[in-house]
Amino acid sequence: MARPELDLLQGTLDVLILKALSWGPRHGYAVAKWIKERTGGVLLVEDRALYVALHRMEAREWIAAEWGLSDNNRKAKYYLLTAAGRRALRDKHGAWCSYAAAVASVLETG
Amino acid sequence: MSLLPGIRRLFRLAVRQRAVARDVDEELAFHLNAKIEELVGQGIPRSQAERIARREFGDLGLARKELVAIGQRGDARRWRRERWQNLGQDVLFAFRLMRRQPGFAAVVLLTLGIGIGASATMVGITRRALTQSVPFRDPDRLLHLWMTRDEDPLERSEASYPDLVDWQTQSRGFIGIEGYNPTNLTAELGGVPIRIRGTVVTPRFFDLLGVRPALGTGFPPDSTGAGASAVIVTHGFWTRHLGSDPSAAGSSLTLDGAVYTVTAVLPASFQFSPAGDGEVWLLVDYAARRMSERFNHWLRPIARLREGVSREAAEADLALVVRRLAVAYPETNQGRGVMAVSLRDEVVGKVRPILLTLLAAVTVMLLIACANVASLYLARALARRQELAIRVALGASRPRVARQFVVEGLLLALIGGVAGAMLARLGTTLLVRAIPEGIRAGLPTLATGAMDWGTVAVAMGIALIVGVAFGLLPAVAVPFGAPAGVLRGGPRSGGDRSGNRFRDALVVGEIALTLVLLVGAGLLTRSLVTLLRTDAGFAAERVMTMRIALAGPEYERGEAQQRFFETLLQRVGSLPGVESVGAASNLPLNGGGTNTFRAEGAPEPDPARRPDAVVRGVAGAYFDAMGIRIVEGRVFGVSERSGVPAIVVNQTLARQLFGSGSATGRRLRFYAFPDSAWEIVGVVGDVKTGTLDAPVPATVYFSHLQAAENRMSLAVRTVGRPERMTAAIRQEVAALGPELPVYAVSTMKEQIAGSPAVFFRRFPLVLLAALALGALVLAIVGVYGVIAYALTQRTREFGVRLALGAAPGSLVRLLIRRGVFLGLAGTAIGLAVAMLGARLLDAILYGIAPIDPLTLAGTSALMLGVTVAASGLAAWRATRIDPAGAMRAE
Repeated sequence: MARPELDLLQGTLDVLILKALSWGPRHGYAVAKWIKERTGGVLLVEDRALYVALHRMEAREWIAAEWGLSDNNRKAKYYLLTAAGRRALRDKHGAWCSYAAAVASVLETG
Repeated sequence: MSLLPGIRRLFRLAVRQRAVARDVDEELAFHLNAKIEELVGQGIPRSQAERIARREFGDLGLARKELVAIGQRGDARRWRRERWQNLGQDVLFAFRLMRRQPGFAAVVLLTLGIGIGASATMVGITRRALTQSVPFRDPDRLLHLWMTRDEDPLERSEASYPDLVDWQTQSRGFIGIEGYNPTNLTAELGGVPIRIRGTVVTPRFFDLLGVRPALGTGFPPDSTGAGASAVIVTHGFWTRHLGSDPSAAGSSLTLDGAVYTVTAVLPASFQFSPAGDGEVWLLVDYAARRMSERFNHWLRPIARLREGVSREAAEADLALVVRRLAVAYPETNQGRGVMAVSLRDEVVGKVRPILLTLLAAVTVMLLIACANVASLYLARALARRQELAIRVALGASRPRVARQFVVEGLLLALIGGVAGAMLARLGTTLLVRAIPEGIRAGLPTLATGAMDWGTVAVAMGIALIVGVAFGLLPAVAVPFGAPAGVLRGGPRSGGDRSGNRFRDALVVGEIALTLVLLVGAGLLTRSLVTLLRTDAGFAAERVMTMRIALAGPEYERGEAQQRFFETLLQRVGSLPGVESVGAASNLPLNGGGTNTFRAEGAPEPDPARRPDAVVRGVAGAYFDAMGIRIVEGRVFGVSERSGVPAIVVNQTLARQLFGSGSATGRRLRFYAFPDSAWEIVGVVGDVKTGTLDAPVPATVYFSHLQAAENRMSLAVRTVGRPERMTAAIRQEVAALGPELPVYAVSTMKEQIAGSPAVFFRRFPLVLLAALALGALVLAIVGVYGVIAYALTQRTREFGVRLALGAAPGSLVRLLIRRGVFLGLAGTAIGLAVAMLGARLLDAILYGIAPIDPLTLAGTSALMLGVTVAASGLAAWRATRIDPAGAMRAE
């Protein structure tokens, strides 16, 4: 299965995770799956990096974690956005869009 | 999946170090599992699926390490933050509780404040009295020496100057020996004569103590010659009378009619309490006759131990010197010994038992206060069980709840400590003010009765300990760990047995401690009553006294002194409102010098065994005015102007010398007046010349007409209240000698009350009685509380019993029985402790033994009666239970 793989830019993963959680609490595996589905597999997210990012954001209290039961009744660690996380998502979303627009405009006009 | 766990998370206030690693492992395992399940669901064989999952994950070991590290760091940070937040919450919560129950807070603060205040006061005073009473360099090496007599090992007397010099030169254990002698002087300050206290000292006295003047140079080195007119003044004298003049050194001062030069001002911290509150310090007068008289014991020696020499060794060495002197001068020194006491013991020895007694009493008081507060606290904790159970159910951990209590206890105790410190400040001032001036002068460091930081520190230290103890108490004694039962059953349905037992124990302790205080107060009361009932030998009612000292050239001759007092007595005697008037060189209870003598006709006694007697010069109708009984013969009259040398003796002397035979007509010879024999013309009743609690010594009265006195105290028996005559008597003195100072103005009643024997018992008695009363009130409240609480706990049960036909009285009896049990237990323990502790009082008891059956029985009965009364009062409410209402209540 060949696919174009792109390395993630710094900070991109955070905003993706926050976005994934903005739809409701998810466990790590669901977050990984959501990102993969939404990006059509274009972005390569190593699971290890995903978890490190999750835990860092938990420590920064952008997200909170709680143990719960998964759909097939397994104990799973769920993450949910905190108020601070919501604010961070808003900021990062704006920053990312203007960044992308800036890069795109350079590449297209050049 | 619900959000409930998340909400619960918010309530989990105490964060413990979770097994972070386990969480990480579980999370990763779940992830890999989910991935594998998905792959298997897509038809990939399990072993291959596992490989793919691992590969896609990345370095699993590294991930684990990273995640654990992040988790631990986060936990630590959160824990630190939450701890501070919790503390803030706890403090806020405690404040809110205090505001919600202001009555409880007020009672606790007041009880703790008084308890802490009282103990801090006593600790502060005791600490200062016992440790700072000898404010000199190397105080442990300073000794006070006393001469003793082999005859009477308890008698301590001064030394003669020739003896002192021999001790100085011949003993080897001391760096130096110096002497002092307190005296009274008339100072002329701005033309006004005032009577001041002074001390005569040997030249190197201040060097021995290690005191350097704040101003000036001290005594001039050539002290045998011109330096004799040098005077050193205290800092107090300098500020009061010399206007704090920095150039005071070198100015002149008139004392007893002679001009002295102020050579130095002592530092403000100087206080040599064995000499009282002497304000001026003079050198011994080398020209005086007593400097060469070996029989004249007037100097009190102090000494400083040589480095490395023990007190015992130095004392033994000095004893050798004293024995050599006895051999060399048998006439004066035979039968004399020496005793070395540490200067500290000399200063505080007398007050130490009193201070320790009071210290023990306030400690007991503090314990009672604590027991009461603890009891209140427990009761409230029991009442709060439902609230606590809810908190535990919502996820609060036991230590977290316990900490809430500790914070609350600390907060209350610290506020109580501040209140206590303020009370201690007030208490110290009041206590010091309550001490008569004469006694205060002997207690240095008290005279400056200011609050010190040591007292504050003590108060806060006590508060801290008390606070933590209170906080832990409910946590230990109240079983709030089982939420379900408490929530279902409400706060009253059993389960708090241990709390009840705790309160019972506290009340028993309170009763016991209160009884201890009561016994102490009872013993002191009995001592004081016995003391005041002892026949002092004079009638103190309606007697005004004041002292007059004749000084100056016009009064130098004896005739002038006699003329002055005779005229004065005549003028005062003719004042309206005066019944009779006399004068004496020393009033009763004021001590005075002694003379050795022998009875004429009796064989010459061994010099060591010469009898001695307290001597008093008297004038006018002294015996009549003072109400002293005439037993035999007559007292002095005008015939003494010309007649044979006459004396009056007291019964003790008559009995000692002549047994049951008549004393009148017998003659005594005094070694101080070797030329004449004195005929006993009368015998009077025994009068307490020294202190009320000592036996009366042999006493001899001279007429001032035959042995002139330059200082006497008037004794004026009045018709009405003695104080009213003061102004009129003063006027008569001023009319005769306007320059003469009149001092020590007081009634005989005041003199008795202010005398050390009475004061040293009344002072602790008043304090102890106040403490005992306070303790009694606290104990009553404690007993009442326990019984009343028991009643509320059993209201429903009692309702059932009443409905079934039980007599209300039987229920009251049931409750009272519990009170009686508590009272008996407390009294038994209290009696045991009191009997052990009464020994502490031994030194200040008078006329009774420390274990006094009457006191013990009386106080026990009082304590038991009060306990029963308090429980009866509380139990009475059982009769008013409405059975129907009580059964419906829960």
